[in-house]
Amino acid sequence: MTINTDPIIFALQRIVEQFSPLWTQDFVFMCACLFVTLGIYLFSRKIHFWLHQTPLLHPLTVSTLIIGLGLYFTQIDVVEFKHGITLFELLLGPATVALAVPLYNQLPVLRQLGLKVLAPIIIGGSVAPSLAWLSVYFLDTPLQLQMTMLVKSITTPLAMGTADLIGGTPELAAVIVILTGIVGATFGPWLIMLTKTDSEYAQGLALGSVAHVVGTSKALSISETCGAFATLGLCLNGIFTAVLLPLLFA
Amino acid sequence: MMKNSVRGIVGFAVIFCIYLVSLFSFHYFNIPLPPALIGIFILLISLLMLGRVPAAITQSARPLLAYMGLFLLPALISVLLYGDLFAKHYAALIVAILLSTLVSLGITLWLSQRILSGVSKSVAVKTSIASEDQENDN
Repeated sequence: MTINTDPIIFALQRIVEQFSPLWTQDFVFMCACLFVTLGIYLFSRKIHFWLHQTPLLHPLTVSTLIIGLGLYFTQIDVVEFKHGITLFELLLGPATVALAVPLYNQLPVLRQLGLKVLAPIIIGGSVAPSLAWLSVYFLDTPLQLQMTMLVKSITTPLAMGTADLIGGTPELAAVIVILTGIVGATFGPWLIMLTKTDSEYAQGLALGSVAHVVGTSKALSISETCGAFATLGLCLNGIFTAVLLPLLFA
Repeated sequence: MMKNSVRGIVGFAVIFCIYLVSLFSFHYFNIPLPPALIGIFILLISLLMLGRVPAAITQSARPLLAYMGLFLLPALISVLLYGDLFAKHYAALIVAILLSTLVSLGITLWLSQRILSGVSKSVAVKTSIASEDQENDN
């Protein structure tokens, strides 16, 4: 690709480049990959539902395992397959933008409670990445992994974008974020008992700000109120972290 | 039913255009934010100016959010490419992911309880992530 000096053309070129796998590859292979992935994902959701939504069998871990095994046995290259499902990757952007809708719906709560809602989110949003970073820092891991750890508590799409900006790895961020969510949602109810947290607001905010979407769905299973506060925690912590980290490290 | 699908498609087109605008501004103005976050701000500001969520946006946001997992799979599959890194640093990863998440969730729960225990239960709450605002849906 020629490098164009006009910034508008340059920006447009970058966007087209991002979308280009949709038309530069074998159409049949692409459709096959998309349908297989969709099928596996829907199947994993069903399993998750049948087994009373235990966070350990989160649809994303089950799907990844099935696809991983499938690729191993069919000898299809991971990179090639990933290329085939670019469409889903591209839809992540619009899906993330849609998070503005639940956030907008929860704004009255934020207006009503103000700092009492913000404080737990800020605590959760700073304690979790700090502790995670300290542990990877002292255990002597590459810088790339340390930077990626900082985004572990925010919702995956924002985590990937932020990791990219601060010198982490987006794909690694996705994995770490999902695992964090699963840990949070699995042990959440037990920690709630241990810390004697009986306020549903507090439960929701903590689950949403530390364990993002996976924590939010756990919170929803506790109660509607708890889920609403988790949504607020998830959205606000995601925004705060994604704004702050690039300012500090980019 | 038909009407809702049309709304959903229109809403998706709007959200997709917002995303394209945010991608463009990310590259053109070099904004140091993830492109999708720029999009969240654009949509949120538009909703605040409108004062309500248009039915079309609700109708398309719901499936997009409910099936977000599907859109995350491409990134998760890449974990298969990072096998070495995971094998090498598994101890650090276990401490960072398992232990630090447990400790920080515990701390956050405990402190939030101290902050929020006195708050009355009268706050109006709407349903969350996958089931937005039903009023606009008729």
